[in-house]
Amino acid sequence: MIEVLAPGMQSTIQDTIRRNGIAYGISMGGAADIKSATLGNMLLGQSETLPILEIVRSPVKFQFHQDTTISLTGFGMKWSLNHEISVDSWKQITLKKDSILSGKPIQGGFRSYLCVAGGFEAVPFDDAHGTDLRLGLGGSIRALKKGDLLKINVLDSDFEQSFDATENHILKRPSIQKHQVANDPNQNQTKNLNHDQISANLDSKIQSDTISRSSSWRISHELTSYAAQRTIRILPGPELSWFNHSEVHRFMKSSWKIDSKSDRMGIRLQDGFTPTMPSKEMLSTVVFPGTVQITASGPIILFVDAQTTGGYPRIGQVCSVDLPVLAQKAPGEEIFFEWISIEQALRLQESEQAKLAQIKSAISLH
Amino acid sequence: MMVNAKLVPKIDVISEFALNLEWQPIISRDQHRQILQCKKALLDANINGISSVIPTFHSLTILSDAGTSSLQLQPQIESFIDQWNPADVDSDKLGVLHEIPVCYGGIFGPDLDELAEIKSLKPREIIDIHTSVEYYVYMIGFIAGFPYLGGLPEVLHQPRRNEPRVKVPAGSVGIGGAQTGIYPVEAPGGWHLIGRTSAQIFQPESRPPALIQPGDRIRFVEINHD
Repeated sequence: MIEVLAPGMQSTIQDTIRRNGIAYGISMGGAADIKSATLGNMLLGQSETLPILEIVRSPVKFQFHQDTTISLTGFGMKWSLNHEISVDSWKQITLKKDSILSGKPIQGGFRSYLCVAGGFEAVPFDDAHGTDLRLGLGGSIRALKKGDLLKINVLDSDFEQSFDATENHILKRPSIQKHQVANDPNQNQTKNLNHDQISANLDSKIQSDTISRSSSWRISHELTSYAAQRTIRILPGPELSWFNHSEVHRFMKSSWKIDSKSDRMGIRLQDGFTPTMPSKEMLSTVVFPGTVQITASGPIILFVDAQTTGGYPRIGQVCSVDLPVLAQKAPGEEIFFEWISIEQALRLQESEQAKLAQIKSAISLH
Repeated sequence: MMVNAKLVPKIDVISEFALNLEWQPIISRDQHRQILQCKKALLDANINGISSVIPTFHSLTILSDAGTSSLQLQPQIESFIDQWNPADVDSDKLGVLHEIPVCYGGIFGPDLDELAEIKSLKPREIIDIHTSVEYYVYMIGFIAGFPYLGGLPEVLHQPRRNEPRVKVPAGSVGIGGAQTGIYPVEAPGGWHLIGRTSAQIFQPESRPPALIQPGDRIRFVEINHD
């Protein structure tokens, strides 16, 4: 069990996207940076769909009431144990009971992920376990509060704990679905992985009273460099031709600043050139995370918790590999748009999936 | 419009996992009926790789499943559109009628009196007009289970409130512009609230989770305050 000592600005349990619910008005949801969430679970040698904790850049503190193997992924936080020992992201670490893990915001990135061996217990909703903040359903039902107790799916029946029905126990046990754990995370993983995607990192080997074991390897920097990317590639949107050609050109040449009112529902952009709204009337149609709508008050990139239908003209659609990039953009940061074809977008997606599959097999071999 | 004359949509790939079939950009029950016939025929055709088909006022959005791209589906969708015949789909079976019990006015419909005043009608007349017609469900979206309804008598059309409410209770029945509808869950909203229903139109535990489906019809039925 993990106790929330400081919940941060918005910490929620998330997992994969919902694709069935969209016909019924249910947002796709899921981890905003699905790549970091996936890698976090892979580092623990378990199913990539297990529930993880998404943390928006802000001070957080958690106390572990049991020995726990974890991984920290994502960006924008500096992690430390018991206020003294610094903890690396992108590797597997086992913390001893009573450890206190704290995160402090740092520049570069906006969302971090805390993954635990076995995954967090989470409330199912539709076909996934992510939190829908608007509906108050799934995952942790709401953003975490001080005093919440997060339970971990047990790896083995021997570790089954008695149900602690305290007031702060927001996760109800009867609705928990146990996930298959692909690998035994308790196996000894101190070997160097001889693989180009995972670089040896012997320098940061930590031994202390609080960390019983830390993997000597981590995910390579090449794979995590996407957070610094500032170009967002978009497919032409269905209403692109509604806009004036030269105004679209100016829109694409603009640099856009992320507005502070952005959240999991939508990323608002400011300081660039917004094309004139077409006078044609638009009927509401289906929209997705990554749909770039033009409104009179500027462009909005609909994000993971966006509504499922919208009535603003769609100038473009962010290619799926760049959604994790957007998840890591803090208010005030700049982005640029660039056109991409559907063929290129699919090639990027394929090569991304191939890289992740390589990492998965490299980790499972060791 | 001939109901069974085949209308041909424009087919576009709109993301790595979605295709859009778009008919004329109009709100028409005849066209919509054929869009739902097309949806049924498409699902019956059992094309591999489709995870869902979502109707809107004038389109169908087709989502591919995780292992299939929109580009892979495109040729099959194109040949389906060439070949399907609306006459083969029984459109009588496409929708059901829901009677939605509504408590009008009072604490459940805080804007009824004000709306009546704006419209120079009595609150009783607003209720009688609102319950006099059958509404047609074009699509579900915006928030979970929310039905976009057509058929609000023009005399009741009224632009949204100047100041939207931060919280509109679940089950609220309101009027906004040319639309009337039900808030399935608590949400912010700018509609004039004239009543409330106890009908659970969003049921997260059920399959499907939305009580009302595109192609269904709705009739509001007045009930007493208890």
